[in-house]
Amino acid sequence: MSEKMGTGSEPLRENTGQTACREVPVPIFSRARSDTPKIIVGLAVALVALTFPLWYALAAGRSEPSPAVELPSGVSQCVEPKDTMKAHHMELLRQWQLAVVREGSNEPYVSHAYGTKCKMSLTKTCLGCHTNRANFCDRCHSQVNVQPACWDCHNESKEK
Amino acid sequence: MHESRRSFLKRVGCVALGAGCAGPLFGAAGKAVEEGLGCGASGGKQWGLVIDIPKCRREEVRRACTAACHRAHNVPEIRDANGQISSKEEIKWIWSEKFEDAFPDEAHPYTAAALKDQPVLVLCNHCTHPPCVKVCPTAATWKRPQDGIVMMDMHRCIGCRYCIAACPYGARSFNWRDPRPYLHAAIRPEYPTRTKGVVEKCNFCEERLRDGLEPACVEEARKASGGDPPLTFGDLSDPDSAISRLLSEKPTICRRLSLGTGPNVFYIV
Repeated sequence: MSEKMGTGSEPLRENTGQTACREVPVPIFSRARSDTPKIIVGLAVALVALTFPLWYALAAGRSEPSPAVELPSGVSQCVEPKDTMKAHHMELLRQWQLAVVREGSNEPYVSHAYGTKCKMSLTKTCLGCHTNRANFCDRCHSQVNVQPACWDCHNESKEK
Repeated sequence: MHESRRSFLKRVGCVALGAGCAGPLFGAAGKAVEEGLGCGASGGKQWGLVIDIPKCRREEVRRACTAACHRAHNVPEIRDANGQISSKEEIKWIWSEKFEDAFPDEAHPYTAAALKDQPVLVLCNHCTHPPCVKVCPTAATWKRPQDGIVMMDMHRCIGCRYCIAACPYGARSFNWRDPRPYLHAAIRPEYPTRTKGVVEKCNFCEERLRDGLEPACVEEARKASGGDPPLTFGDLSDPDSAISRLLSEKPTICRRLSLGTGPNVFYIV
């Protein structure tokens, strides 16, 4: 025993009887019964499936057109241009909310684009023109699946 | 002079610790002094209200105040199964309370019969040192610096009800359920309703003051009493205002003054 130990690790390994475990690792690609191809194919399929919305939207251009909203009649413009309102109305409302509720401001809002003045009020200004929530607000909100809590407290106009 | 590395590090540590502690300590002390000295008006405007108890003796006057306020602010009337106003879920901004309940420090066994059991109009006192504001974790309630109104921001209220526990006047109500079904068709669209899970209270008709009107209760009480105003509203920081003159002329009391909240609603007994 002591003689074998003295010779180094090579003879000791041969005698342990656990050659399978002590085997020098073989590169995985060369193993006869490897799962590697299956895993790679599986990963590729998963990647394609997960990114489906991204590349589908890219391939199809616009996936779905914006819903048609019912604009108020008798008014030619909103407080800011249409595209600004489309993209930033929630920020504008937040700004009004902070100014009126938190700072107690009684100043009118001055439009950046038109210079016109209006009262900073969701109920009186916005809902004053956009009287029909279902045909205006809800159309886009439903499509993009957002549920703003505005109407939990702010009242809809009575006229429909 | 030779100093060992060990003693040098000790001294550096002591100095750092001292400096680290001193900042917050001095800051807190300075703030406490500022708050303590700034009792009453902090130089700015402070809206206040004087309620003349004898002039509110008639029930119609008090009822008109409550009705006008609750109508103006979409305050629901929640009734229990027996048709009575629910004691557990009642929402109120201005209401009547017995004299001895409103003024436990003033009432005694020999209180004049004219006051004993007499209902008194009570509401949020818009305190100078509002305890509700101190406990609010989201700053949903705060004292407005420009006019001293203790405001509520329903967008920020998370319904923790700390303010209800903190208010010694019971001036705050919690919306245990959606109030809209209890308003029926009487919703005033210009003023928002509340939603389930927020606390509400009197706002001194902040939205009317903005338009240059006086609070709804003050206006309605004058109408109901027929001329002589039972409620007087105005700026306490202005010595020439009607309220300041009234306060300097007549003896008035406040609710639970000893608590140090600095109420800004005064009563003529």
